[in-house]
Amino acid sequence: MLATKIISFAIISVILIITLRRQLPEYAIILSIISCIFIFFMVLPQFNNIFIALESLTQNFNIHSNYILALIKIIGIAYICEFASQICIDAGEGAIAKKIELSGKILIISCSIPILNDLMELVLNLI
Amino acid sequence: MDVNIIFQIAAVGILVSVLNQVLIRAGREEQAMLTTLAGLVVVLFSVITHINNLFMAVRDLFKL
Repeated sequence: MLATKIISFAIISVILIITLRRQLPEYAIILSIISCIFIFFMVLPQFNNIFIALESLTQNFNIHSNYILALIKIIGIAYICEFASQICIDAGEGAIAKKIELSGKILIISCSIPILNDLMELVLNLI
Repeated sequence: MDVNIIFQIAAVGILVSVLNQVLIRAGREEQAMLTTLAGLVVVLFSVITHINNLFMAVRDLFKL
């Protein structure tokens, strides 16, 4: 079962991180980065299945594929920014974490501007 | 994605911390600092490879 694998892996790495944190905090952060990366790689195939199902749904309902593409990009940006921001918070750098989140928000807005344009055109055509 | 990497990094960390304590007790603090830095550089090499793998996978998956 995937969930038990992930949970056991996480608990083992947490114990190792706590062991290292008092003596050498740098190793603790590096270990936490690596365990986050490995857990994500364990869940990666499920992500793939979800996106394939989403794409088949959009083709069945004739939704413009650009919108779903932008949505997937936004999810990706949000994931990466949250990953980096939480690692910075764990390392004690709250300021850098907040700036990473801010840049993520700006990138998401710039990704969704075409959708906003289309929405405005649609509304104007209706009026 | 070998799970043993976690144990390897933890082993390097514990080894470096033990060496650190031994060198500090022996009075050689600068060598202790150098040992810590050397272990950090060794571990960072493998970590950067994995971070690269992560970003490649995220770029492919989310089509960024």
